[in-house]
This record gives sequence, C-alpha cells and structure tokens, in this order.
Amino acid sequence: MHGSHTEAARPQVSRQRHMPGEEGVWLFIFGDMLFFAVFFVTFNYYRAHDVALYTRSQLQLNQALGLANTLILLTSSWCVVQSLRAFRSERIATSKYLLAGAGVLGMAFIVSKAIEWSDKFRHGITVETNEFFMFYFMFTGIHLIHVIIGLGVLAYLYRTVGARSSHAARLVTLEGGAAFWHLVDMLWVVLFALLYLMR
Amino acid sequence: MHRGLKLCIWSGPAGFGLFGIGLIAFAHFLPPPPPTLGMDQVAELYRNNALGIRLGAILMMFGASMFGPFFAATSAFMWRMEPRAEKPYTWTQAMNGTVIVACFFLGGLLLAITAYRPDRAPELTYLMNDISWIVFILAAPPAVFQSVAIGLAVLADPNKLLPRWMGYFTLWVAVIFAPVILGVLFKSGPFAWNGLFSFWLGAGIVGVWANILAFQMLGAIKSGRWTQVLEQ
Repeated sequence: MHGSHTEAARPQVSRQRHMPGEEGVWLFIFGDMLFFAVFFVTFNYYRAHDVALYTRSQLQLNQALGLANTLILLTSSWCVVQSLRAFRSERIATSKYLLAGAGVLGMAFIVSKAIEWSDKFRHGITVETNEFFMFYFMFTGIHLIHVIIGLGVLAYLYRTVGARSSHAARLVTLEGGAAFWHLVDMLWVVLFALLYLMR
Repeated sequence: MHRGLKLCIWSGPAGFGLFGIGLIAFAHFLPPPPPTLGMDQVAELYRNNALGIRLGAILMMFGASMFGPFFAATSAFMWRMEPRAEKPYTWTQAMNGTVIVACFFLGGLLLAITAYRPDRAPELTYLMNDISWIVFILAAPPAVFQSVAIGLAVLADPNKLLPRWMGYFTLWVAVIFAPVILGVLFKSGPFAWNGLFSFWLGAGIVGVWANILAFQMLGAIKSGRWTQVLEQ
C-alpha cells in the first residue's frame, strides 16, 4: 500500500514514534495511573452498596468550583505544551514565562481547593461525615499532594530550561516533567467526573 | 568478595521473611484484626493466642532488627551513587530507615506486652492493641522520605549502579506508602489499618520493592559494577 511513500515517510514516522521523556518516567506515570485506577474501582465498589447515599452527598459538592478546577488545570497543561513548543524552537524566555504561568495556575488550583475544603468544614462536612466524603477528602487530598509535587517538578523544569546542559538533554527532562504535569491534570479530570458528575 | 556487604543485603529479604512468619504463622494477624472489633472481642483474641502472639512478636522484633543491616547496605550503595560530597540522600535514607526499624520493632514489642498479661482488664488490652497497630502504620511517613531519597539517589547516579527505572519505581513506591498513615483517621473501609490502602497495598508493595532492591544490589556486586565504582 504505502511502498512508494516509504522513503518520504520515514522521518515522519520516526518523529511520530518518539517517546517523550525518559522511559523510566513512564513507569512512574503508568504506576500512578494504576494506583488511581485502584482508587476508582474501590470507589465504585463501595458506591454500588449505597448509591442513594453517594448521589445525595454528591449534591453537596460545588460543581462550579469543580469545573473551575478542571479549567485551571487544563489551561495549566496547555501552558506546559506551549512552553515545550517554545523551547524546541529555542525561544527560551517564552518557554520560561509559560512554565511560570503553568505554576501560577497550579497554585490557583491549590487555593481553590482550600476554599472548597474550608467551605465544607464550615458546613460541618468532614472525612467522618460519611463514606462518600471519606473518599472525597482522601482522593482530592492525595491528588492535591500530586499537584504540590507537580509544582516542584515545574520549578525544576524552570531551572532546567535555562541550564547549561545540551538542548537535547534538557528537552528529555522537560518532556518527562511535562508528562507528569499532564498526568496530574488527567487524574483530576477523572476524579472530577467520578466525584462531582457521575450519576 | 564483599562478603559483609552481601550478608547485609540478604538480611533484608530474610528480615522481611522472619517478620512475616511471626506476624502470620505465629500471631495469626493476617488479615490484621479489624479496628471495628469491640473491647471484649479484642481481649478474647489476645487470650486465645497469648503464647503465639508473644512468640510471633519475638520473630517480628528480630525481623525488624534485620532491616538495620539492609538499610546500612542501601546507604553504602547510595554513598557511591550520589555525586555530591555531602551525601544528603544517603543520610536521609539512613536516618529515616532507623525510624522505620524502630516502628516495626516497637510494634512487635507492644504486641508482646499486650499478650504478656492477656487476663488484664479488657480496656487496657483494647488500648494496647490500638497502640500496636498504629505504631506499625507510623512507619509510613519516614518510609515515604526514605524511598524518595533512594529514588533520587538512583537518578542522580552518573555510574548507573542501579538501573534508572528503579529510581522511578522507588519514587512510585513512595506514593503507595503515603496513604498508609491515613489508617489513624478511620475505623473501617479501604483506609482503615486493615484496609486496601492502609495495609494490603503498602505491605504487598514494600515486600516486592525491598526484594527487587536487594537483588539489584547483589546483581551490581556480581557483575563487577560495584568493584568498578569503588576503584574510581
């Protein structure tokens, strides 16, 4: 089928097959996804025993804030993508600004989570309220720790962009770190669907 | 060559094995007694197996003490991995590793004390049982920073004494250890001390991970990479 195109397509193909970052990074990322997958299965297992309680408790969550959280992280991820694009074309200053922007949005996520949690506490809702809120606080809390680690990773990337090592070596580090930040974003999207939206 | 070091490395898997035999075969604490058990049920549990729990506790205390040489060997490796002269990760590992030995040792000791006089007032046995199990899961926070230190040392190593994926794997293990401490918040469900996230995942992964670490260190000695690094 593609015999005559093989020669021309070859560089294209090798670019498509490029695995961003280091292989080990993906071990961590898939491991973490597995860990969260176990969370989600556990949640659904417990939920199946008392769907009414979960549906009732879900109404007490702030969907608007949840959506805001999602948009914040998606925008932040977009910043990281653009930052990498800028880095690839040697626009170092732009790359740094975009990483800083991603970091600021990450911090905004933490602030909005703090607002959301303290609102729950004000209404007397804690981890001990019921099973749904146990999962809600534990999952969002463990995810929040990922966001904090992710901010550390972004700070490290910010330093890496301007470091003296070769462009290729820095790119590998940047891609690996960016993949982690996308993971944090993706896990949130799934958590948002599971906790706030699932009926 | 490196006989002492190899002995210390083997002490890890052996210590885990001994700890497991004490916990499972003698004390019959697999699965752990649920935190939801009532006062009289807990007292009865200790009355029915007082000798077994005490014997198991002895094995657990020896097992925990054998983590010491294993962490010492891990530090010896990290010392050669870390490019920085101050060896910050090595020290972090050694210090948090010591706390972990203390937690597992004390957990065993507390079980032994609880089973020492099983006919004491049930309130006291109930309390002692809580203390014992919470001391075990107390190992989680130092274990998180221990595994982060090991992971970062593997990744910082210019000689690649251990494979780089082991660094990332160890960082992932830190993520698994973190929720173990949440057992102090709950009495039932997946986060309680007998639950999936506070017990099964942490206990399962720590066994697998420590054995992989031991075999990789032994492999580095066997292949001559360790001698090479020493001669640099």
